Amino acid sequence: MGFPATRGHGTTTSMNAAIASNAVELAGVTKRFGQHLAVDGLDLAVPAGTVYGFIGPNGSGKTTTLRMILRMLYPESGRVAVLGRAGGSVADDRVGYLPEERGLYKRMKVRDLLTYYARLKGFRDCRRDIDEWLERFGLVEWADKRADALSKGMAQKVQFISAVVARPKLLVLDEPFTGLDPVNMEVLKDAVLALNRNGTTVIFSTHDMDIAERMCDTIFMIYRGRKVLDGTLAAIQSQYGRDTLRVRMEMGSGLISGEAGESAAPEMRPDPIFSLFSLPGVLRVNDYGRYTELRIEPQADSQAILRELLKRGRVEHFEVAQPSLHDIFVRIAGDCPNVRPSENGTVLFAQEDGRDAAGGRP
Amino acid sequence: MSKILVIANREFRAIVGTKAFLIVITMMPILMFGGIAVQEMLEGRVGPTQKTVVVLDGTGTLFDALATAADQHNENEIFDLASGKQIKPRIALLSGPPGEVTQERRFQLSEQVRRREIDAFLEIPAGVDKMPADNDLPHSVAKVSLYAENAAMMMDEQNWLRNVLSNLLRMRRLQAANIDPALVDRASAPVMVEPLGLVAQAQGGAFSAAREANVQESIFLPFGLMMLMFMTIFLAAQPMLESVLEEKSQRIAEVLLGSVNATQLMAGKLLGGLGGSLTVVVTYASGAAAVAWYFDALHLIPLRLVPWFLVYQVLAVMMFGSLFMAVGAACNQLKEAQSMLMPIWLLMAVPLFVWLQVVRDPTGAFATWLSFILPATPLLMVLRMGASSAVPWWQPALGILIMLAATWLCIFAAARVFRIGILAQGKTPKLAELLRWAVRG
Repeated sequence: MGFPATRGHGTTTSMNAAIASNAVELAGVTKRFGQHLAVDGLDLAVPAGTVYGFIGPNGSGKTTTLRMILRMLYPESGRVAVLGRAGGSVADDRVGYLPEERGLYKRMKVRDLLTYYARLKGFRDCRRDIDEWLERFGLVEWADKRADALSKGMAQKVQFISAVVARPKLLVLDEPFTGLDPVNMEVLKDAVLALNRNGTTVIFSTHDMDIAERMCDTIFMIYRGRKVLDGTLAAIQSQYGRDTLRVRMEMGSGLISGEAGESAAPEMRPDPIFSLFSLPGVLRVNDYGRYTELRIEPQADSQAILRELLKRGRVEHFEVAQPSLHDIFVRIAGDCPNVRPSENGTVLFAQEDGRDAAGGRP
Repeated sequence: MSKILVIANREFRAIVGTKAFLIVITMMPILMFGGIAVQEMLEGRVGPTQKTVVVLDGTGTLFDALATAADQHNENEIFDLASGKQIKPRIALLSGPPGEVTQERRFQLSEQVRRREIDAFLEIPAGVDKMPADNDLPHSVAKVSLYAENAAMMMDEQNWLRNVLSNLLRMRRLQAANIDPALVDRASAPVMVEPLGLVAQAQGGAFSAAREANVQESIFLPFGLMMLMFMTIFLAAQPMLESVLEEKSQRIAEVLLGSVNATQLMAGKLLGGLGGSLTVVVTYASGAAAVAWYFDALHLIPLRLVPWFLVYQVLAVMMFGSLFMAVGAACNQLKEAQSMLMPIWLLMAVPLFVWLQVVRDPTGAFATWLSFILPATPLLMVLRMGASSAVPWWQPALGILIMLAATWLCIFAAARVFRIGILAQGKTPKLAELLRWAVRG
């Protein structure tokens, strides 16, 4: 089944060439809530036709930014242009929105609900589109049931339909996959990508780095109200170089060097993960159970580390890799008191020896 | 505008399309007027069929006459003339033992009352039938005592005894003074004041006779109008509050604000609520007209008040609805909202406390001034106009101007609170913070 194409917009707009190529543009946008600075001088350009991922820890300013794009909040300074329009007190009818917190009128029937949301977007002849979407999501028999009869997954799919039923040109999804089982997640993901193939620009925020890596053309990370990452995954990863080693040692072959590790009583032996810090050039060790990830200094010699590991035991897997998005996220926003954004938006990390290192260069 | 109408349409359906609305719209008049109707229906149909009273006749001469009067009463005055059913209790008088009435005797009779052997006992002191001396007048009152468990509530029996004994004593005193009681009756024929409405002139020039006024009409018509206004406000504003709370707590508001701005959302809700309140008015007005037609009382429907009522209703629903929605947007739970709205409810209830005073003197200074004080204006103005056609036209007109200004101010301030509150989560703001939102936006 094909997807409905996006609807045109009757009014003329004064788009310039730059705006025409970008679905969303933010320039120097700042937003405060009382004393709290939620978004700080944010610049952003979302190219039309892309899938654009918003990531960032809780409270970093993601939802505030999305709400400004949707005209629910107004910036104190700066400019927000959406689909070529820089002003307005209400979201453009060509923008669809799925908020993080799902909400349906419990006593309304599913079809009435979807019709209502479509009409609020100025899309009156929506019955066929609603039927198509309900069929695609296997909800046809629920069309005339009240929303409070739906399961959580079904309600989430209905909520998604409400965001896309008016054929948006820009689709803003705030945590669209949260709480979905893998099957429903696949269905929703396919729908998002199909819409994108039909020309819809998709912005979605997520905490799932795996999804962001796989789906997004461009990733934007906001931290403490400031942009800290913006670009394609490859570009972001290339900023970090190949500073990550993934290692799996044979069970029982111990990562511990020296007599203390082998002769001491089990409870007195040093933590094997901790012992990896003794390897030359290792900055951080992250144990995933089945393998261990080491972050090394840019100038560190991975071969020297491999040789050292071989001295300690049998190495089953050794890989020099770029850091994953998850790792980059944690580096920036991890529970590390030493992390702080610099003046130009670059994130600085305090290394174990107290020196700062560049964590990302947007 | 079309988006506002889409929201208004949904809100209207959400208000009137529920079982709760049907139940409330049915129950409200039953609760308000049903009590009065039930009292009327039960009058004389419940309670004891006989009241037994022991008479301690200190004069030794009054009991037989009293017993005769009781027989006449039981034959003629305790039955419904149309149905023939007994509607009042019989009065059975028993003569008490002669002799001095001591506290011990009173106690013994009281015990009989407590054992439900009798209902009461009447003590007529000796000498009560004597003519009062000149210098005792005009305060001379012959006093008899009725003892019962709840004597104050034996009003029918008290009235009957007072009338019968007064007549008996008057007759005896007149006879003792050699005056013909029939002559005195004729000379004392009372004057009756007939309450009438006003004479009107038809278009052809003919004058219509003034109609006889009755208390029910004079009280229930203005009271009904006031309560209809109250119900239309309540039945529109309360659902608006609950709707906003649902949208906030269920996170529906954020979805809606992805399509409309907060002002459009509030405007749509106000329009929908207004539609709901007009439905209430049309329903009750139709019901009242049907009842009036059935009882051949269509002339009682005050058509001259309809435009005034509708204007006040629209303004009142907009004013209270916007305030209720602002509070709903600021709160997270219904309980919090109800607490915050308590002062508004109390102010709204002021007309319910003073309505009888206003109906008695609808053009007096008290009623006039009070009807210009918000938020009592819509209720008191229709109450006054329902009670009297002599309310000068400029007074309701001025009331409308006051309401217009207040409604505009309320909507303006409420829109600011609504816009901030609807997306705010966490702690409910204090009243001072709400005022700050309303003033600064």
